Amino acid sequence: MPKLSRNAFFAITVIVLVSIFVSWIYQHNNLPDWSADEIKILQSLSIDKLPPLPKDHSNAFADNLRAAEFGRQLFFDERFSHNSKISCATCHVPELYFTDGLATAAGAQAGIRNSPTLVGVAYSPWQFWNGRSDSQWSQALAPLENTLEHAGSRTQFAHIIFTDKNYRQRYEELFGSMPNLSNKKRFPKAAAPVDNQELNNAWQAMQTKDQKAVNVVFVNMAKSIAAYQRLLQPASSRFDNYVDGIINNDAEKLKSLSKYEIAGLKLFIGKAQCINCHNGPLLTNNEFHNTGIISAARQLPSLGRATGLRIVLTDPFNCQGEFSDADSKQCKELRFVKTGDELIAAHKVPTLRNVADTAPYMHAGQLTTLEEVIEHYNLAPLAMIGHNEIKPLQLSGKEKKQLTKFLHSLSGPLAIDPKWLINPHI
Amino acid sequence: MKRLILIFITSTLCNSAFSETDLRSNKLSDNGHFQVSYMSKLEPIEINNLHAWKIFIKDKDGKALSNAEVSVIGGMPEHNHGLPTQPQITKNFGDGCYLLEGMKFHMLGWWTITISITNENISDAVTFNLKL
Repeated sequence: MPKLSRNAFFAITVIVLVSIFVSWIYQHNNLPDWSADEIKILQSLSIDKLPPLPKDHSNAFADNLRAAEFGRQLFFDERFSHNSKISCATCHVPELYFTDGLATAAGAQAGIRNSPTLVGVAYSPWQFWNGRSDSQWSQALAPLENTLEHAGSRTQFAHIIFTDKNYRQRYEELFGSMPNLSNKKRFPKAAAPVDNQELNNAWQAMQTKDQKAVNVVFVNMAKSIAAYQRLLQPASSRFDNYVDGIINNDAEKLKSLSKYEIAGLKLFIGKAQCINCHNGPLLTNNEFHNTGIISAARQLPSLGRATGLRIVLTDPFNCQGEFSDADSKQCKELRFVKTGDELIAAHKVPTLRNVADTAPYMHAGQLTTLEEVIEHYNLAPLAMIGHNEIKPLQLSGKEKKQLTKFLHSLSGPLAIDPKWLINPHI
Repeated sequence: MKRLILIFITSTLCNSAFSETDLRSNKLSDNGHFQVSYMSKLEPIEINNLHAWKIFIKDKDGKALSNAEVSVIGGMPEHNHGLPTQPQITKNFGDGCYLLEGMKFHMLGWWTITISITNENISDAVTFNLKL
């Protein structure tokens, strides 16, 4: 073996030391290895890119804080149910990012759908897993009378507001005089156009103008609840701090994610293709996709958006209906809604903000953990009905763990004064 | 070896044809009957944002066509799905200019928009590529 010259030895030593130093700097500072295109994508996911809330033309009270406060009181009030024990907050618990931690909702009876988070959903043009409502207020109407949820009735709710001094005052300050509901023959204690025969008979026996008067109160309740729910927006997570660190070359903020989580983020926007649907600052495109999720135990496969479309297009409470405050032309999502067979068994893409804290997952809570979710997308099984849009990812065990770790970095506080999260009735 | 080189050159040319030439917003229709161009009212086009386009239609000699029937479909060839909306022509400004409302893209990547045109019993279509 030839002897190294003194210069060669010195040069090699310098190269080795520099390499060690560079490697140490990289590891110590978690310096990112992102291309310009990747950085652009990361920025597009940052909470800093969240635009102002889109105006809800269908709800003239959507941005009225007094309506939001009235809505908060209604949201937490258990009297708006068949047994005075169920409120919106029963299934949308503030401490759980307005979910309930259950596979399917537990209201008046066992439900069939997972309770989605309410955080950030004001940005979505469609509500429910199948998008059968086109506004937050029209969404809020349905659970109040659904026999699996609140199982109440609209005349019952109108009577509560009419007889509760606080509510009546708040209502009339916002919406003007309430109809005089004191005649119980004209305004039965419980009546609604629902499947329940007794409630439906009572509703059909009412005069049309009285039905309309009650509908207006019912809708104004829901518009107030929607005004409250619009306030529920996400704030920065560790992921957002990390992106901020990249943009501003802030070494401290770059430490917000571990190396493992950064590897997961790379997969999220690359090989794992999560970003196809989970894009934008809320990590959802708010559209509908069939991802081959099996139906829940003892349930038929859900037709998803195909059912939602049929309902929303004929819903008297949609954006173009008589109770909407919008000019018909302003209802653009409804006017240009996609129909046809392509969206059979497609369900709404949920936000991934706070996803690690909002298990279980999928429209009927079919998957319990993030690991199960990632494995589902990794395998991309055939859809029971319709066409599964996803293809197998071939992620390794390590990559699946990295992706899971990254998803934990998407949790953060809410961008709201905590007073709004308090139940005012306790 | 020659074959391999040929494949390489062809594929390179094809890719460059898509990534550069085909991103034009002004094209001749498939059978050469119409000159079609579009202008997005949302610039730059971004995902998850419902917006409108203006469509400009001329015949092959450059005469504006103001009474054409126009329909639009689109999708992502690589994902085998269509647009999330059903865009429609909602206004005819005259001078071959039409308002196309309901445009929306919900994923990053390669999109195609096909505009079908019928004017005085002549039908033709043109497909635009977009890279978002």
